[in-house]
Amino acid sequence: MTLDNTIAAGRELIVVEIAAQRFAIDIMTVREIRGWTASTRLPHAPGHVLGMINLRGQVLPVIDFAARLGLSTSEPNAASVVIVAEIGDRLVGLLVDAVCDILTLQAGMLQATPEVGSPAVRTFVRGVITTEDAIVTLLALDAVIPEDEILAAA
Amino acid sequence: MNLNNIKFSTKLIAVFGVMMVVILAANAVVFYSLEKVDRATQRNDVTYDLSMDVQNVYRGVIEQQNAVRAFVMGGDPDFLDTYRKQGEVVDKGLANFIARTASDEQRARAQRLSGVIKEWRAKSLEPYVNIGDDPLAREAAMLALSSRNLTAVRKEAQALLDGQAAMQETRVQETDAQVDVARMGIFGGAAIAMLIAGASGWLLTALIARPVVAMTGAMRKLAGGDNSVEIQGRERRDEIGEMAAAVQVFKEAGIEKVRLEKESAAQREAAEAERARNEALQARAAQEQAAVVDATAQGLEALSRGDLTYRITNAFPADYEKLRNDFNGAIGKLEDTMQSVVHNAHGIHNGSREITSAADDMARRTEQQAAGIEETAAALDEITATVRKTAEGAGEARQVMNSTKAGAESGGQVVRRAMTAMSGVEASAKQISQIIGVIDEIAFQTNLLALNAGVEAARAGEAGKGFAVVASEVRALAQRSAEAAKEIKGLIHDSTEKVDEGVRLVADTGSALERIIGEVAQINALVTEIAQAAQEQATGLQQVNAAVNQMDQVTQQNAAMVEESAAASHALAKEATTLSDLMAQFRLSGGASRAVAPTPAPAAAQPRNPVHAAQAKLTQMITTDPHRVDEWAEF
Repeated sequence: MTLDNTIAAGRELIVVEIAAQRFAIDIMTVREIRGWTASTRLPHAPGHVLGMINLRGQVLPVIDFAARLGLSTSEPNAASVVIVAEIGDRLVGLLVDAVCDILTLQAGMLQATPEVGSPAVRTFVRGVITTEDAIVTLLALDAVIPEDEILAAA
Repeated sequence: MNLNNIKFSTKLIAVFGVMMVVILAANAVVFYSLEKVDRATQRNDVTYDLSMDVQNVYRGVIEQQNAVRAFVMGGDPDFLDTYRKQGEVVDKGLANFIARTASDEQRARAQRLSGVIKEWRAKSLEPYVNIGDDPLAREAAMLALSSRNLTAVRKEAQALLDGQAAMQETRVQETDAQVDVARMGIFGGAAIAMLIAGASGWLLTALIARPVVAMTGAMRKLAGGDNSVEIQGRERRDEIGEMAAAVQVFKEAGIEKVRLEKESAAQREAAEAERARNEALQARAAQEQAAVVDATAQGLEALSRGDLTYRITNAFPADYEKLRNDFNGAIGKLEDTMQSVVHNAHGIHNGSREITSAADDMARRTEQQAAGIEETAAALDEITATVRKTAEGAGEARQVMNSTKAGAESGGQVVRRAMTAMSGVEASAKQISQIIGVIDEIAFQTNLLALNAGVEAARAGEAGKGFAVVASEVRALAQRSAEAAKEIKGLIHDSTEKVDEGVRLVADTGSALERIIGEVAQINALVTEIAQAAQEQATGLQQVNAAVNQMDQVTQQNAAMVEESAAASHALAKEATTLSDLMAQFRLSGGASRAVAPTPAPAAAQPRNPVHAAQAKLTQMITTDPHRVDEWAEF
């Protein structure tokens, strides 16, 4: 696994809340964080694609992150936040319930993903970070949103 | 039918009636015959007139012939006029005859004559009437006219005249026959009337004159005192019969008078004998009466002494025995009565004693009754006080209710003001919520900006380290700001909820106050009813007071009556004693009558009158306080 190499100590992570769970995203993949605005729906799009939004003249797809992760979905509200992530060369909007923190990864904080007998979990999850009050799942964003799938969705 | 039973007047009327009928019948026969003679004479006149007509006709015919002859000979037209006038006379006479004759045969003859005359005229006269001045024609006409032309006419006219003569002869014969009949009627009627008159004279003499003579003889004998004479004709029913009945009455009266004279002589002798017998009887009766009067005087003397035991023991003569028995019976009855009177006097004495004790009882009970009325008056006093308290309590309750109502109404106003204030608080809270929303939004956006700044700082690597710290601080501030806003929001939410609850509670209070006002009104009505009830009770108490008054009067009257009863019972006892004293004067066979000692009756109880005090109090209580009544009326 090459993932452990790319995530080193001192790296900063954005901690978001989805369906009352906390997930961490590498801050270097995040381009911008903005409030929820209404999206324009796309015909024949997959269920987790909410639609598209206009970001300073550039059109980018918005994905219901909870649906994509297989968690229970929630209706977007005024407190919802769209994280504009750069996956490959593409920009993708990820809908999350809230942004909780910016976490600086210390040595030894990151632990291996527990074995549950499902290869998909290992593909999606890079590792688990324990904090004082919760367990934060570090997501492999490029695995969660594959490039070709984004293209297909776009 | 016996002629003796018909009245004289009827007999006379019958005789003269028969004569009048005979005379009338004879006159009727004569009248009838004269009528027939008259009619025959009239018809004879007509026949004579008609004979004259026939002769006129015949003369007219001859005149016509002469006129035509003269005209033909002389040519004078005046004769033609004569001819025509005579023609008219002939025609009129014939027509008259035909119309008036009674015989058909004569009428036929006249008609035949008329036809012959017409034929004669047409043949023998008319051709010469229009003859001119031609001498030849005139000569011929004169020749023709000189011949015998009237033969047929003369024959017919003569036949007609003969017929008339025959009719006249017949009439004369009829007249003679009727004159004979009239003559017969006159002589026959006179003869029959004479016969009837003679017969009637003989009959009336036999029926009337003879009995009257016989009656006169009988009456003369009767006047001479011969009562044995036989009165004839009593069976008759005419005037003779009535006279015979009257004379018979005279005869019977004479016989009766003789008998009565004999009877009165006998009666005088009997009366004389009776008077002598009566004088003897009266002398003996006077003797007996003197003895009876003596015995009776002795008995009455004993009675005047009061001795009711005395009886007349010597026997009286038979006529006066009843007097003795009656005297003894009367004395015995009087003695029995006196014994009953003595017994009853004793009973009256006992009764008067009982009445006296009853009067005492009554006086005691009247006292008890007066005491009861006093207690009643006291109870009435208490009841009046209670009613007054009730009325006052009702008035106070009403005042309290009024103040309660006023308090509740002012409470309602306070509630409305509180609700207005709550609404203000709610509006302010809404505004604060909006402002807090703005602050929250600003905090949210600031947070996002701080996050983006952090992202940019991370991207900048080492050069962005310091900026990252600033961004982190800004984010912390934004988070605090957001948390503070959230807290304020929660507080405002709580405040709003509490304000809502307060509004609800105030509204509940308002409705509770409304209910209180309504119930206060109900209580007010109830209190009014209580006051009315108190008024009615006051009226009832007045009636009770009147009843107590009446009871007091009755008690007073009872007391007076008890007093009178006691006095009367005293008088009664005294009278009973007097009665016993009087009874002692009589000597009775059962022993001397007992004297009854009078028992003094106890003095009649003087009833006290405790009612008046209570009455006065009650009257004062109820009637002399008009304000109280007014108070009750207010309710």
